[in-house]
Amino acid sequence: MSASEFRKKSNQRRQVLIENLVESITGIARNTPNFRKAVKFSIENIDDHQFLSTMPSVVDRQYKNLLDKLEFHSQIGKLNALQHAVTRLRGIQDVTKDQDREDFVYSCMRFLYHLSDRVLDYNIDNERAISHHRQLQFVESVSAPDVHDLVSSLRSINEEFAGDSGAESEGTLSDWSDEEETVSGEKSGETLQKETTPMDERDECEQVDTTSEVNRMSTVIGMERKHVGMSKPVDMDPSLGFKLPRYVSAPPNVPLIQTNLAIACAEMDEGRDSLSLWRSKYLISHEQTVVQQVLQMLAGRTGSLFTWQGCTCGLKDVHVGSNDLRSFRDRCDGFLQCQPVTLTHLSPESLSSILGKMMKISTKLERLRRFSRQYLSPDSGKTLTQQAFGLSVSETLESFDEIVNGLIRTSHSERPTLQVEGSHTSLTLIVVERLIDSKVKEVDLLTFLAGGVSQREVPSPSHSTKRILDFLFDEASMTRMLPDEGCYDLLHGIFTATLRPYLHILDHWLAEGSLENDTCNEFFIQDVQVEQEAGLSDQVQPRTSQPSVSRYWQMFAIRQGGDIVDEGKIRSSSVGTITISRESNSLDDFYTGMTITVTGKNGKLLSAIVKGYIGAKRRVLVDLEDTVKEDCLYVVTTVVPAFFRPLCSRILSAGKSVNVLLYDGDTKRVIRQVLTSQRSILSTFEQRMKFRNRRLRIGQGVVQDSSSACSAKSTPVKSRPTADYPSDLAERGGGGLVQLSWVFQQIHASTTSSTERVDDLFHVHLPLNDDMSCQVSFPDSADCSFSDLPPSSLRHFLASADDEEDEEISEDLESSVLPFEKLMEEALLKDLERRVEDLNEELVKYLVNKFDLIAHLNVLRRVYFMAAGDVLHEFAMHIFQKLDRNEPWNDPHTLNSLLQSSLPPSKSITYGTISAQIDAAQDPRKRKSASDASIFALDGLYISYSVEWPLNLIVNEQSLKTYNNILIFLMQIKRAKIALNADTHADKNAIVKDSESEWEMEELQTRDRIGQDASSAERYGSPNTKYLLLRAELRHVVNNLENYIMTQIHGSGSVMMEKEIRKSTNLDQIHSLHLRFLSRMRDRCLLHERAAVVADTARKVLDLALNFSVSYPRYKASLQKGEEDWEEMREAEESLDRVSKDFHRCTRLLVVVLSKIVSRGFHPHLEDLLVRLSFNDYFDASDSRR
Amino acid sequence: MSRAAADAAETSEVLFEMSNLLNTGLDKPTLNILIELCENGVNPEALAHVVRELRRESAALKEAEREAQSVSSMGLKL
Repeated sequence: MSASEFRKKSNQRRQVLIENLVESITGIARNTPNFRKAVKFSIENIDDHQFLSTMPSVVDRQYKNLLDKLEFHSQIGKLNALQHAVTRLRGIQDVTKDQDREDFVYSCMRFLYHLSDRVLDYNIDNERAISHHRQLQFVESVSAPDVHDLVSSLRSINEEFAGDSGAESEGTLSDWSDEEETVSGEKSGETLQKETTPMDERDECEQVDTTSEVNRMSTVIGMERKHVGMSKPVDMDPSLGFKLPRYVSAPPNVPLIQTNLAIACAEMDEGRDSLSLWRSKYLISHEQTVVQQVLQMLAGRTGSLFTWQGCTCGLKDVHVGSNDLRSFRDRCDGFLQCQPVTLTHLSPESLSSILGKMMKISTKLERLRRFSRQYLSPDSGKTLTQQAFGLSVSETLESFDEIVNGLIRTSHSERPTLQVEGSHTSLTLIVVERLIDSKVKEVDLLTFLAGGVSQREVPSPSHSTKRILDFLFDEASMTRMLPDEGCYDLLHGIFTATLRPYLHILDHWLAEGSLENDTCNEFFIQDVQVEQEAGLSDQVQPRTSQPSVSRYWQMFAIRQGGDIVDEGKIRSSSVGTITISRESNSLDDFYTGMTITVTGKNGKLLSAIVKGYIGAKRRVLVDLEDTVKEDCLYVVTTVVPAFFRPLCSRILSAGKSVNVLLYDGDTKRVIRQVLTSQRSILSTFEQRMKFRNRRLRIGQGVVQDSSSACSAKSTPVKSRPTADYPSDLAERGGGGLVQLSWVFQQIHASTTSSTERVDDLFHVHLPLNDDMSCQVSFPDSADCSFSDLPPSSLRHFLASADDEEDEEISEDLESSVLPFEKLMEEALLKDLERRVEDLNEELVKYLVNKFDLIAHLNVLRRVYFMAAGDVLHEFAMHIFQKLDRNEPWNDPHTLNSLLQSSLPPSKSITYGTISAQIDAAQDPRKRKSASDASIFALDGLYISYSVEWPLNLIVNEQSLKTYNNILIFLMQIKRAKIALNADTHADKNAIVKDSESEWEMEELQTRDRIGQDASSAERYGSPNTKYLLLRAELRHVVNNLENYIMTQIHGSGSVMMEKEIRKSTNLDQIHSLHLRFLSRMRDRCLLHERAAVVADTARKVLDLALNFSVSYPRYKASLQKGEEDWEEMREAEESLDRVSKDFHRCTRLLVVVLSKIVSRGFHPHLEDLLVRLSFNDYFDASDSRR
Repeated sequence: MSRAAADAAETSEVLFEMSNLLNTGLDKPTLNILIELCENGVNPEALAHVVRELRRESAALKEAEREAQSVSSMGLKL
């Protein structure tokens, strides 16, 4: 097989595997466009590794580091602006005492400009930004009239400098950012706040220069004009829509970058024009225009910014996802934003949040509008109840539309301000959002109801009506339990409005006994037939939901895998046998309509089957062996709404009575004869009818007639069995009066009881509100005949009936009058300070967790304090050896290579760049004596540790100087110690090599112990012994100095600093903690400037140790040579004596100074050093001995 | 069953247990496909990214379908 064939087969196999993988993971069917897209995406990514680099860990780390830096930059910028704002806010009261009002307003405006441009343009937390912006609006609303006057008076200046305003505003931001970058690294002696707050300086400069002041004012006004939207922008071209001539229109699909300021600042480093480039990425627009477009969208109209995107099923290339896979998603209908928009004073996140919210509400509103239009359209075939529901939704939306239209009119006015909560406010996005917020719940509720109602549509109109009414009633009942009054009122209104057509049908049935009003066949009574042959008996046929039942069982059969054997009988293997049988309709029990019998072992399934029905009665029959179960279920098949169910029989009998009464047979003829002959009886009949009609009007209550005969309880005829009537009628030969009274009593008995139950209905089953009955009212039949109206005109009829409900709610808004400065303080100061604290905490977390500040400080400790022992050991030893050999040691290349090799590799953290330098410009005094043999030779060494921003805010030049001072001192001690130890080792080696005697070896070892040296010196008295004693004393001092610094100071100090840094709350605190730690280290190392004498003395001791290490070998060598080299031995002795003398003088000075410091109680750590140095007052005693 | 096949089955079993322990949510057939793809020279990291992306996108797709279904349930003409 050739290579190409192998590759081809391999690719084919791979493709097959990838297809299998895609199918397995996504579950998308093969040969669909989505599947092909997914496979293409997978193959491309697997083949080309599009989102993988060769070293992902490196790329991730670098990317994370970059993002962290940008975020930190953004945060610290915000912090500075906020701190400046707090300072300005606190000082504003003092400023206003001396200035007049106009200056004060100007100052406030400038403050607002600073705040909005510096803070709100940054991406802070969305909600916080919005709440902060609201507070700004509040302040602005207070100052709006004054600001407006000032704006109008300064407009000429503004127009004059209109061309410069944009450049000025951009320039200020860039200048400010540059200043922050440069200043933060240089002004190391001050706190961070001072370092990064350049605005005060710039403001002072502006006050001096009048020209720049005018420019400044024009800029402020320009920004204010954009911000508030008080007048039409000068540079707005209507023909261009949102495109400002100054800015380039945004390219499509520009992603919103979160850290916009940080990105801008980063781009600023690359070039001057990058800021304008950044701005040109977005379409900067005027808020007033955006508000107008948003309002148009809320009113359901499309504009240049928002369009209505219809629902597109199937494939749609929208290219939303980053990897093109999302492009095959189906899209729902809704409002979409055509082009990106940016406002200068709102962060992109805040703006997109507000616009997204508005688009969501507008989409819901538009869907509801379409829904209600669909329900109200004449050819939609909807029932009266559905139309009434659509009408109530439409009416609720109309009230919303009125608000929006009012806002649109305001937005197009010359001065778009409106009164909110007693104060004038500019019509901004925030204000619109606040006004719309109160309606969001209603819109959501309406959407929920519309969805619920449309889901409950079934082919049978009566069943559909029943479900809709039950659904609305249940929702209203449940909402009443909640404390939300607004939702309850809305639901209650919609329910009563939806119920109204049904009540009309019921009213007509009760009053006239006819179903003429039920044009859509939605009433639960289908038909009535009166038969004379049965003795005026009738047969009322209730509706059933048979079609839906059969469909339900068909679905059930399909789900169970069974098949329909014959009509009404389903055989299923898993359940058993299900038999459906219809029973004859019983008028007394509306629950009985259908019986379902399940014969099988699975009794539990039956209850699950019947969940689709509302209410059922179940009877379980179990045979003796408990093997076969037979469940009989009586399923509700009536279409009576749940809250009417207890009244069914009464309603039926009432309507039935009227039918009997008005039956066009003998009885009716009798009645007519009586009516024509006896006027008085006619009037009585009319009274009864009127009385009945009145009582049927729910809401007017039961009006008791004066004639007590009408009362159901006192009617004697009621106790009379109805079965007696035909015999009475036959006996009396159809006596008109008797017949009429009987008919009246029958009608009265039935109608009174039923209407009482109707009254009870609203008290028992609709206990939603006390005045509920007042709101549900029948229209007067004399004014309007409902049956005459076509279904489509029902809404007009119902709308005219609800005119009384439209009441305007006027609110008495009072505005509190407080001084402006007080308002600003109350509105802004608390929030600003809280945000400053939050930002500080964030910055500390960033610095400690993301930038590993503690780890870097540990590295510094290990390097500069030689804490770990091995770090810098090789480096130091190399330098010492070079110095001892008088070789040039200060070659930077050698030093740096040594330095890098001496640092241990670390995977956990990244070292800063460490480099060694030789400072040529040393102190002349020191340089003079800084020969290689001297201890001061190391003074020129400077090791720099450069870390990236923002760690360099903490590890700055000043701190590095201190670190270096300590390092040099430590290296000097090390050098002295090593020199002394090397001499000792050489001594010991020589002794061992010579093997002169064992006792000499012991003597040397004994002399090394300082406690016995004093006595040994006297005991032996030889010059060699004297110098050995001096060496021991020198080593004792040097060792104790080293131990003191390494153990007593560094260990405890660094641990304490680490703890405090973790607890610190802001950057300044961290900065000061680090500086305090360093200064403490410096002081404890006796390197403070005021303790220069002590430091010099200590260094002198170290220098003496070096001298000794040089002179003593010479002395020993001359001693071995004997008298041959007498001159040299004498010189060496003199040198050693000088060393001894100087050493004791220095030691005494050191001890005296230290004991004085300790005796004062300062620096308790020095007490330990003093005790160690002068153990048992050794040096005092030795001095006295001398 | 040959020895090689038995080894492969055992390896697959072990990998499947590891996958379950790591809560990857991969079933056995998918895991076998992934193993075979890796043996075929596909970068495992690229494969992992593809699996994650496919899961995310299919979840988004299903969510969009549900949304469209809820809209159509309102009875609006689409």
